[in-house]
Amino acid sequence: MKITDQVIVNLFGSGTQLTTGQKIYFKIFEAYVIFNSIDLAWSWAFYTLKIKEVVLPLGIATHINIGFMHGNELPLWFAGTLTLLSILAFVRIGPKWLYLACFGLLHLLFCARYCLGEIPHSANFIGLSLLALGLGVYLYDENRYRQGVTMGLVYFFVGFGYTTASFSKLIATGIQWTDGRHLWLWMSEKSVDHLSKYGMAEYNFLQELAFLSVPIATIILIIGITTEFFGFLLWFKRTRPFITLAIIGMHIGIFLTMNIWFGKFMSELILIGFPWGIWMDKLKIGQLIKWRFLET
Amino acid sequence: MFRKQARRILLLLFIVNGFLVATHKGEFWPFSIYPMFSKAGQPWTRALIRDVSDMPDSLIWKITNYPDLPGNPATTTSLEIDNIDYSNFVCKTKDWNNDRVAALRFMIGEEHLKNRRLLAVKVSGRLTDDSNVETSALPFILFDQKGNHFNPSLDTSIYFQNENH
Repeated sequence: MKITDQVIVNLFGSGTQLTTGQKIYFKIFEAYVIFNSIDLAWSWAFYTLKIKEVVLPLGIATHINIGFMHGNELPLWFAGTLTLLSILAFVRIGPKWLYLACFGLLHLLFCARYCLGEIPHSANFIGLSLLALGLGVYLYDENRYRQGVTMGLVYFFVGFGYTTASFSKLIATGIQWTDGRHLWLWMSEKSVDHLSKYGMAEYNFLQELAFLSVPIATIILIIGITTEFFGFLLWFKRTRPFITLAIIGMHIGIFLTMNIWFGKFMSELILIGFPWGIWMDKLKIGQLIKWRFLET
Repeated sequence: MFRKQARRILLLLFIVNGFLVATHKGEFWPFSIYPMFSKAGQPWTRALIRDVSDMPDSLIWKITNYPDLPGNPATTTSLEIDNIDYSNFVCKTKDWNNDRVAALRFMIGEEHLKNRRLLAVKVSGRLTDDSNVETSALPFILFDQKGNHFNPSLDTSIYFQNENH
């Protein structure tokens, strides 16, 4: 089998009938994506009420004046609409494009919220998952295909994102990116953010250790960029759990050195990185739940 | 059949992803080239906010070596501001026209300026030739009940630069 065929099979499966465990898992994944989309929509909507000026337009706001979302309660209406539509889509009431409409609304809310200079990535996986879910539900009627397409796209773009991040570093800086002194510079930068946020900034044990010697700081950066590079291993069933653990470890390392917490990234990695459906089948959890709802 | 369709969907979305990030400086949510921390070794500038209500004017505007800062901390948490937003707003704005200054004041919140003087401070850091991190703090804009004040010791051109460059 060609390597591209292997990748496709590992990503999307072969469209066979889902086991009960896999059906339950997919519903849990769907609920996770909706819950987080609604959570993001409302938090962005409420914060947007405080915004008056556009400093750095992102996404669709580079083409349209996103100012129409500011100075009124439109963001709250958008968040409310997204909430209603996503719940309807989850219970399969209404047209098949509801998730795609939710994705469009969430993109607008993102652009209205993030126009002040910050370019966050913490919600990218949720956005990608909502888009993948939207495409899966819109294009297919059968649950097995919806699950295959949704999860395949999620595995691909999450893995691709990490590998791309490592390439971005190598292209922008080169192999000298791993010079430990760069970590010193970032840690001191983040200490200013910490001081600004909490009024105090103290370095922890790992940070002190990194500041002690360039080689230690360099090793930390090498481990980080190597883990990112191998992000594409999420595309393969066999390597998925191992690279998931490595990436979660990397995110914990980022938190300890730079105080950046990727909670949504990590929770989604835990959900997609392990064969939960198969484990549920082994535990025979499926026998306890026999909803018709799982078939949709 | 399903695999063929899946391959086509992936290819199409991959092309859409590539087109959008290529034409939008690497960012079109939720697509991204994830460029954070890609340019290593670059000098940085961040912003924080200080309560200088009890400080004489003569001491407020002095440039200091971080972590020596004027006044007391006025945390973004206590001001209910998103820390990254605040920092980016202060650091990325080049043209401090009346609207921008008013927007920053709005972000801080009029209720937090009652009987208080809050100072926006820019902190810059860079690697020195002898492998140390050198940081300095520049008092930038003072907010009080009377209004908004730029640092009088700085050339006004610093506050009015072209944002397109």
